[in-house]
Amino acid sequence: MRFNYLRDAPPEVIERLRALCATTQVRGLLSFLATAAGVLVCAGSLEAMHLRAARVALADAQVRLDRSSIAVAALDAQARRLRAWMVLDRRLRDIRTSGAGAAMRLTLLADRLPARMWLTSMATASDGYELDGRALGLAQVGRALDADPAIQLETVHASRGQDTRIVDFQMHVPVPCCR
Amino acid sequence: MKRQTANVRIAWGLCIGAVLIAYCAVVIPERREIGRLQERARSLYDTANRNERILAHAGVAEAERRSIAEEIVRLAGVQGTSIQSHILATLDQEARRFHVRVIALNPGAPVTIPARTRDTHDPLHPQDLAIELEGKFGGLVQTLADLTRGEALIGVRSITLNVVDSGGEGSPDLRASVTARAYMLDADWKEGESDASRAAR
Repeated sequence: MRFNYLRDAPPEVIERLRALCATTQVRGLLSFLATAAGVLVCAGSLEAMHLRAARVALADAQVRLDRSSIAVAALDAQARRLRAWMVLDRRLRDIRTSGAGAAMRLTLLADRLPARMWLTSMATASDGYELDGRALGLAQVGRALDADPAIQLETVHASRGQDTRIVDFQMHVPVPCCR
Repeated sequence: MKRQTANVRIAWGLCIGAVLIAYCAVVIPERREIGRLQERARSLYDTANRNERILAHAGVAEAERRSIAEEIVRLAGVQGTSIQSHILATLDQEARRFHVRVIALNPGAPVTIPARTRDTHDPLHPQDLAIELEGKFGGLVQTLADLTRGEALIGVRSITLNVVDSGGEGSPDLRASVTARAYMLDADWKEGESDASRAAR
């Protein structure tokens, strides 16, 4: 059967819907839906705005961090160079004081020798000094050894000279004892 | 009538559900994303703050750097071709002052340093020197002490003293064989410094 718009009554579904729409409850429901949709749209817009702001803040923070990281890297390079310069400065100071240090050690060594004992040769070794000398009797050599236990006697023998009391000796003196 | 009321309730339920689902689908993921971005931005901000605190001390480091550079230049003394004439002048002056004779001065060949990488490049170029001096112990010791304080950069490496003449009652004459090194400082020892300081600024 064909539906005639002019003659036939509206379909039952439409009638039911009309009846439904007419009620206050349905109007309330529709108002709720409209309000909720509005609130949702507003909330969504607000969140989108916040999201944009958060992205901008993140980009700003990234730019600031990148800039500061580059500066810190440069500062690190400068600090490395500064450390190298400090090492160089220390070396130069060591070179500048090497003469005074050697002179002081020689003086200390000479002061340690007891009377009637004299040096004929003094040479720097890697860990101290090699001393050659003469003494009037073995007892003098013994006194020098007693005065400084760090001194190592390498050899002692009778001198070939006229005086039979004179002995030749060789000693090793480690540097720490002379400082 | 009863049926209509039930339908309305169902419709309310469906609407509330739809609203909740829409809220969960739209707002919650954005909130989560915002939280994540804010957390990341805070972490970057903290790191940048830490970096800036470090950079605040750059001024002090710059002053320290300048002072060390000046000190290095002062300690290095005279440089260039005049270094040997300065060594001779220093020796002559010290010898006259402390009554020491300069017997010989033999500048050796420049000491070759094995090739190294750029970072461990040694800015000091040593040249061996053999110096023979004769005199009394006191004079030799004082000459030795002053030798490294002159205008040229010289370091004493080893000394050998030998008796030349026992000199009767007085203190004997000694011969000092001194092994020393003269050092030349690279002209470009500061190289790279300008780049680093420019970048830091």
